[in-house]
Amino acid sequence: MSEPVPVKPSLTRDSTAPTDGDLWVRLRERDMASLEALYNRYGSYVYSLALRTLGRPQEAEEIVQDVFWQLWKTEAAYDPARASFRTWIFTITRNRCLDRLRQHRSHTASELARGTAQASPPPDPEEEAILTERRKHVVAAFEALPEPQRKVLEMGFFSGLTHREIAERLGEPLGTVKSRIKMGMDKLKSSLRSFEES
Amino acid sequence: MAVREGHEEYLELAAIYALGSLEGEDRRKLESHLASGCEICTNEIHESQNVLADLALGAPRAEPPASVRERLFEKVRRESEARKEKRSGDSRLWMAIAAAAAIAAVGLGLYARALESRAAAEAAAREALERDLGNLSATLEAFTAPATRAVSLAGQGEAQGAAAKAFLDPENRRLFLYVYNLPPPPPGRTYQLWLIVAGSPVSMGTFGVEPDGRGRLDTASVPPFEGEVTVAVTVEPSGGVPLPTGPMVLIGS
Repeated sequence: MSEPVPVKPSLTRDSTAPTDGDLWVRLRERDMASLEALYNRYGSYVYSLALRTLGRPQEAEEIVQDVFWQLWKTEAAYDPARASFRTWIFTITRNRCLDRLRQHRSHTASELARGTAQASPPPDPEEEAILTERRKHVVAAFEALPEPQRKVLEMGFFSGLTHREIAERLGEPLGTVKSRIKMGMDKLKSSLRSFEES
Repeated sequence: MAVREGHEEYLELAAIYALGSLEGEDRRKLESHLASGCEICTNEIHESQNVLADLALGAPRAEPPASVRERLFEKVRRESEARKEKRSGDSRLWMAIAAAAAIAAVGLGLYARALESRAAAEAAAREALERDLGNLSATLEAFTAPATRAVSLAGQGEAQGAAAKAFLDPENRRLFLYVYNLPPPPPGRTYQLWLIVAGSPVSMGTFGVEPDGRGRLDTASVPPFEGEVTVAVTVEPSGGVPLPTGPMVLIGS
């Protein structure tokens, strides 16, 4: 196996460290080391999201395999102009998870950021530090949402429920669920924007 | 925000759409609106998707087992090697194909040349046959034409044993001469055919004979004539002469 692309541990990105975009470009040239670097950065996040969404470790493992295999085969078209690589890979992961969820809805959603699994030592310190920092802010922003808004977003995002299903499960009017989703989304956007600007 | 006025309902639907939770009539309504090219709502969806993707970071951190990584990269390695082998195989295949193509091209070239040569020979043979057939047809026509005259020529002098037949077709100005038992002319000499009309000889051309004494001449330059005609053959210098100068070997009227 080829050596992972080296990165330096730092909270600010080292100019010599390859960006996600750099790695993607190399990946398209069949550079296995770039795939390993991306796996080091996002493998655990992809797995965490899949495990959080599907609730079954075996299925989460299959999702990880599927997502990175899709990257390797470059079957998924990533457009850097439209979204960050992070957004893109999480979107792919989530879509794969939702496909499975819709096939068998047997999972009971747990709460965000209260899992019991322990993270392994980060293999990609710089990116891990950046993502960890961002994760802290995302969790904080999410938990700062009023419970009704957080709940509908959680049911939609992690459980893949439609707005009608959410309304039915909560016993709330459809209009109320719609406006809660919208308000929760706006608050998250605002909060994350301030994080990026800081 | 003024620019978003009138879009409130769509923006709400856009947020739910980005979440992947919009369905039914609401979804159709938004998609129809997006299809009209609304940038405000399209941007709303993209922004919301970026925010939602970050929610993935909020999932409880868990590490996939090492076996996941091992299986993945084992599969990647196999695929990569297979791809290289395929490329190499393709390369070898293409080289083999190129070599075979080159050989085939040479072979085809030779074959094409042989075919061309054969075709040319066949064409020449066909042309000769057609020519012969044409001649035969013309000869037959001349022989059977009502105005055609047949003249028997008898050997003279040293060519006493020789004989010839001449067929004159005045309509087509054709003359066919068939010679038998005529010895070859002396070196530097040739046989020349004359048509003698009203005492004046007109050259009809020169000819040679085969070792067996056979000779033939076919000409389409017979001048118009009426009345009696004499056909004669003389021995003349090679290339012929305007007027007969040598000994007569065949004559008939």
